[in-house]
Amino acid sequence: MRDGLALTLLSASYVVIGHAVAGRVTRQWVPGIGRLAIAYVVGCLIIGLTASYLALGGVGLSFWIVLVIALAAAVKGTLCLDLRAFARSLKVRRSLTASGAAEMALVTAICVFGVILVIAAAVGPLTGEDGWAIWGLKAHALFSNGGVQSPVFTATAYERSHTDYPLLFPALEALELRAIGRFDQSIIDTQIAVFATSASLAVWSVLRLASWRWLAAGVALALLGLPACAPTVTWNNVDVPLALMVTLAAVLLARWLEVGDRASLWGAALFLAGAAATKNEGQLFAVILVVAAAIVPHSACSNRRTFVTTCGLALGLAIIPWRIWLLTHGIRNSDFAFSHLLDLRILEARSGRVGPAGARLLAELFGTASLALLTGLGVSGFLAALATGQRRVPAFLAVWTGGSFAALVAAYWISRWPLEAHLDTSASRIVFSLAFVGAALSTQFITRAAAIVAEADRGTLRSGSVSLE
Amino acid sequence: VNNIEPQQRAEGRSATHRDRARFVTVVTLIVWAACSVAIAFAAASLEAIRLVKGIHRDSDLTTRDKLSSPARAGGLDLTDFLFLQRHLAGVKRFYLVLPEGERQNPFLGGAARNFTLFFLFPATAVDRISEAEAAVGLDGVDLRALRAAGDRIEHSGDISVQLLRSP
Repeated sequence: MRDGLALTLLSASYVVIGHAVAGRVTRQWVPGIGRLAIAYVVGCLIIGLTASYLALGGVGLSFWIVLVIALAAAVKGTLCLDLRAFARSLKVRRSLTASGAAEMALVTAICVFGVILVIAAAVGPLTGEDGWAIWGLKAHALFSNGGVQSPVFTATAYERSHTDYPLLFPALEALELRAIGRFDQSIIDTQIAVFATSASLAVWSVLRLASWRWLAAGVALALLGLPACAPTVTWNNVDVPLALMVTLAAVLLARWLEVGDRASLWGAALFLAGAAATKNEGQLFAVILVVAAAIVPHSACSNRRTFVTTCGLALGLAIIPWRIWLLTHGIRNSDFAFSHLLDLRILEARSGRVGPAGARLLAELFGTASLALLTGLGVSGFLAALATGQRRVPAFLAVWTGGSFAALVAAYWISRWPLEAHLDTSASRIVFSLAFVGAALSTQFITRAAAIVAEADRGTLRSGSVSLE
Repeated sequence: VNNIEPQQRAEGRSATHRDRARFVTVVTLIVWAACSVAIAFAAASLEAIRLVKGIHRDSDLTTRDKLSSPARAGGLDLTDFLFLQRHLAGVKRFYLVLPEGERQNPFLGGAARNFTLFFLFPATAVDRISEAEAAVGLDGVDLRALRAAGDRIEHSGDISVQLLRSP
């Protein structure tokens, strides 16, 4: 009971802080439940990144300080939850259309699934190997020591626990442990389950701006609930939250490329920072997203200089402090050294790994029933976009997907581990981001393709007249 | 006039074909998207049922069962390595010794991958150390030689942890 109250208070603090930061923008964008979800994710990222920085300085962020920050955010008046408007947005509209009813049913399904996921995470013992050996271990160390002044983060004996992985989620989990006042291996993974559910709702909220709303809700449900993804959440693995953050960043960057609004850019920058502070491949995906958005043709209203400054700053803040700490403590990537990409002898000696690595990643994307659904949706959306003359966002998706796939193959190419073992332990989860981003953007492609074809039929093609019902 | 009519008819047929192709495209996109959503809904529902069954199963677990989960093999929370840290100076590899029965625990596979090799044993089973040594020996690790090289035994609650220097 006490644990539940403490965790609820902590989650509410994230919502309050996130809403204080993003509420003004999301109020115009999304309905109540989506606004709460985005606020929670934003609050988690802000507090999690702050806790990570403090951990580098040997300081553990206290649960009570988070409550005080939330209180300050509320008192200052930046919090405008507007409960009446929120309640209104939850009410069933009398003139609900069939697609609106479908959207509501699917969003309800996401919420129900999220509740089940959180309960499963809270009740079940920590059985996922990486879940306890990497993330749980680091969270426990941060909880006990406050910061990174522990062999868990520096000793070579812990190298296989990926001492080089960033601290965002261990820091959030340590905060959760401080809230309940003890280490509990059952409760620890509820943080990831709540985050994944909220991020899935946030994806729906952002997708529905430019897609059929029922399709946006359906894809958001798929990202959370498919059998290939959901169990990893209850194993305390961060792959689904990472993929959801990459997806949010990609969708908002795609929106910024089309519309050029500052809110999308700031949102994308925050999620890029979150992805980069979650895992090494998150840094890779985030950097390639920025490169892809920089090199595709921009709309007249999107300012390239603002984009580079904002995203560069966000990525720098997320990556550089952690990288400096790794460098000063002599901690290296336990899987590979980037310098090997420049060593032709090593590349040639290990060239036999390229084909099998690429084939395995493709097999994971197309061969697993769950991911094949998402990948298939992504491919069909992409083809529909090309067939109807959409260029900018499909080019962005193609550059990012191609670049990310090539980077993953390169990582397996120069990996110091036996290829098969390395693929067996990582390939099935590392492709989540590729499948998620393609499926998410396909909703926009399909909606727009259908609108373009329908408008062309009527001979009254007007830009920006896409029906979202 | 007679020359124009066939051309108009051809254009009309072409426009009809285009209309039909567009209609088919739109309907295909909508049907495909709707099917994907329906499949995703069905798959998520099945996954939810599986999770609910897991919740029921896990709710029935006794504390003892939970303690033997991979993350708590042998009764020790394996994320609780912190109490080992004071021993880590100069120890490059360290081992926890498990009773033989625990060798079936899936934790061992993970331990071998993540931490060189870890075995764990309850203090009450110290007299079974030879059994554990024999088991470890099957993995090609000569525990006796390692112990001879200089081992230390620490007690933490009901757990003994044997730290051994790397050979």
